[in-house]
This record gives sequence, C-alpha cells and structure tokens, in this order.
Amino acid sequence: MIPSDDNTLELHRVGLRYDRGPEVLSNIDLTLPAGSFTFLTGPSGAGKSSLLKLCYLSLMPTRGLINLFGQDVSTLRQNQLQVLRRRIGVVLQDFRLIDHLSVFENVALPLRVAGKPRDSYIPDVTELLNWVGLGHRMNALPPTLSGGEKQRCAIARAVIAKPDLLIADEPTGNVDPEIGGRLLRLFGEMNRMGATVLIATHDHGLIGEFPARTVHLRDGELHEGLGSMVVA
Amino acid sequence: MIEATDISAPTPAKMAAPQTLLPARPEQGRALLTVLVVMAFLAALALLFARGADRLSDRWTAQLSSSSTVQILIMTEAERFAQMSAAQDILIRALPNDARMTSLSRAESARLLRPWLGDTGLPDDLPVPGVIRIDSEVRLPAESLETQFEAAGLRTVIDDHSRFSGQLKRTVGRLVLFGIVLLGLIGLAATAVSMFATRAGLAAQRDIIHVLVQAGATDGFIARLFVTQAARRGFIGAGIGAAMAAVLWFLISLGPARGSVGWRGLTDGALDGVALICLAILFALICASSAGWAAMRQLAYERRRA
Repeated sequence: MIPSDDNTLELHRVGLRYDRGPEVLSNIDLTLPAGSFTFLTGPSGAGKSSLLKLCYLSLMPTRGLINLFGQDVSTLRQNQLQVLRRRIGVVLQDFRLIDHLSVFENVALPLRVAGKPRDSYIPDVTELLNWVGLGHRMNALPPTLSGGEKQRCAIARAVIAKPDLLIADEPTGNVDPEIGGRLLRLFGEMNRMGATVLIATHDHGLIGEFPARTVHLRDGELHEGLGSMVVA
Repeated sequence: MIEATDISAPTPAKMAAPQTLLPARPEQGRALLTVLVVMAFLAALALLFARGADRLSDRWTAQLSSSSTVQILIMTEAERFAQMSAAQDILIRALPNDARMTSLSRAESARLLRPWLGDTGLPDDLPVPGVIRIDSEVRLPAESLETQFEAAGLRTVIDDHSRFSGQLKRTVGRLVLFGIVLLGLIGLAATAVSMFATRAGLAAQRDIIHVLVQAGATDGFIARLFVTQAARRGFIGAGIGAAMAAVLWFLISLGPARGSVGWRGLTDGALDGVALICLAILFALICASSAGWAAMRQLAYERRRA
C-alpha cells in the first residue's frame, strides 16, 4: 500500500487479536479520505470499539499496516505518536471524564497537554461550553453531571483542539434527539472546517438525518455501505 | 435541554490557576507524608549529631592543642630545684611571650600519681617527676626542646596531647562517617518510598493516565505531574521532620548536655539551620527524581505490556 497524503487514515489488511485469543478483526481495509465523514455501524460485539481503538492509536494491530496523516504508525517513536494523537479528537462511550477536574478543566485538557498558554484558551473553552449547553456547569465536577451533560462535555473536549480526525463512539447515545441533532451538527461543522470524521453508531435515524458514507462491521470484517442502506 | 443563560459562569479568579491533573488522594497522601516526616526527622537528627560531634571534636582538639606538659624526670629530690629551674629557663627562651607556664610543686605532682600509687604518703626521698604545664596558642616545638633538654642533661617527656587529639579526631571522623552512611540509607529509603508511591499512583490513576495519553501527553508530561507531586510532598515532609529535629536539638542544647554536641550559640544554630534547609531541598530532590524515574519506567513498561 502506498500511503497517500489525500487520506487521513488508511488501514491495510489489518488484523487484531487480544493476547492469544482469536482475531477480533480480520483483513480490515479502510480508507478515510481527508475531510470525509463516515459512519461505522455494526451489531454489538462486531468489533467497532476495537476498530476505533486502532484508528485513534489506543491499540496497535497484530498484523497489517496503519497509515495516519501519511505516516506508518509502526515506525514512529512514542513521542511522535503523541504528536499524532494530539491531532485526533476522541469521544468514547464511557466518556472518560476526569472526576476531580471541573467541566472547564476537562474540556481544556487537550490544550493544556499541548502546552497552550492558559489565557489563550479560556475564551475558546468558555464559548464552546456555552455552545454545547454547559456554560452554566463550567465549575461542576463530572460526577454531578447527568449522562447527557457528561456526553456533551466529552464531545467538547474532543473538538476543542480542532482535531484533524474526529472519532466518536456512539456520541449521541445518551442525549435527547434535539441535543443529538445539535451535536451531530457540531460534528458536521467540524467536518466542514476540514476535519475527517468517523462515528460509530447504532442510530439509523442519525445516519438517515446526515447522509454520509457508511461502513458496516460484521464478524470482524468490514463491508462498504451507503447511508443507512448497508450492503454486506 | 440546552441552557442558553450562563447563570454561574466561572469567574476569572476560578480560572486563574489550573487544577492539578492528579487528584490529591488525602488518605494515601497523609500516610505517605507521615513516613516522609519520620525519615526526614531521623535524617535531620543524624545530620545534627554528626555536625555536633564534629564541632565538639574541634573544640576539644583546640583546647588540647593549646596546652602541653613537660615532665622532668628528677634524679634525686635534692636536684629538683636546679633541674626545674634549668627546664624553665629553656622553656622561657623557646616559648613566645604570651605563653603561660605553670610549675607544679612536688605535692601537686605527687597528687597526680595517686590514681596509680594510692593515698599512702610517698617517701620524702622518692624522686617525684617535676611537671610544667604550658598554655600557648602556638604549638610547642617539641623536637627542638627535646634537644635542648638533652644538651642540658635533663631527662624529659613532652606531651602535647597530639596522640589523644588524633584518637579523638579519628573517633569523631568515624561518627561523622556513620552519620553520612545513615543519611545515605535514609535517602535510599526515601527513594524507594517515592518510587513505590509513584507506581501506586500510576496504578490508581490508570484512567486519568489513559485520558492524558489519548490527549497526546508524552511520558515526560505525565512523569512531571508525579515529579511535582513528589517534590511538594518531599519538601513538606522534610520541612516538618527537620523542624521537629531542630526543636529537639534546641532542647538538648538547653538541657544537661549543654556544652556537648548541642548548639552553643546563634552561629551553631544558624549554620545547622542552613544545613537543615539544604537537607529538606535534597530530600525533595530525591523524592522528585525517583518519582520521575519510576514514572518513566512504569509508563514504558505498561506500553510494552500493552
């Protein structure tokens, strides 16, 4: 496979197994062109979360190649991988908010890790939190938030650094349709600004509302589909 | 429902300082701090004791080196006066003007023999050695004096206490070395405690570390969090431990041991205070560097295992 600068992410014949267990993902070929918007669907246990972990470099494949932003990740040193990770925004199903940090601090975390001066990001974080409806909860701690608020906080954290690749695992699973629609528009806005977006979801309503390329994962194998009409 | 109104937006004061990324964990922190305080207290005591012993040795050595004795082996009691006078003449010529010379009488010299000969009176004709005590800041020119005494037909023994002060210095040197070894061992224990605490912290904060890694934090960034925490804890622990040791040492200096290893004045206290501050800083540095090293190693290990 020849990596292309036009593609944000390329997976070529990627396989993944945990320890000595069976392969949970087999011969995955996935290309996310720069600026594309892709839904990843599939039944529970199909390996969606594992595939996403490979995409945001939380796991390394047991075989195959991953090219991210034009670089073969297997050849990169730890610090280089961390530089790549800063270009990825991730929203996980379990949110992974830091309980002792306020909503503001949780959202500002990627900017803080990137070494941005505090004064430079306070207005951006405040504005984003207002936009996702958490402006009045900036000083609240995550354990005091509702499920929907946690999700919005996690999404705000994922997009605050204006990532080149935005990956979300069931991002609208815990919110009402109105907020779900608004969050999806946020992803769309990020996409229009140039970010490549990959969203794993069960929500076919969401897919129907936002026509985009859809890939379907079943039994550890990936199948290309279109919109909500997935072709196995 | 998205709230449009910002009813409790964070004030600038609340945002002025970033929150620490690692939680305080007060229950674990207190236990660890107690251990560090005890270790720092022992280290500070070892330091104060070593410095006190060194100062005491210097004082004693200075006292010893400023006084000497010359024993004149009197042949017969009839010759005592003549031999003592001859010895005194030689000493007056050899010593500086400010040297003080005290000749002991026969009775005073005989009293010095009591520990060996008992209280029974000595026969009058028994030649008791004559003793001349010399107090001088200048060291006695022993070899030159011996030659002159010999030339004058006097048999003498010059004791400038160099043998005793040498032994004293060697003994105190060993005590100081013991103190340094003790400090080293406590430093080693502090290193182990700090490393253990860091590993435990990394294990307990696994979720936070995962979020940080996903946000692009390097190992160095994460290790710095533990370094800062360990340095602060080490400095506070060492500060409390050193202060406790200083109070104890102050009481020792007031008590029955006054004039021994304790402080004899403000200078001693001030110098030891500086040494204790250096100890606290060193303690914090040991805690911080071992935490950083342990964190880097553990993160690398976790990654290899993953």
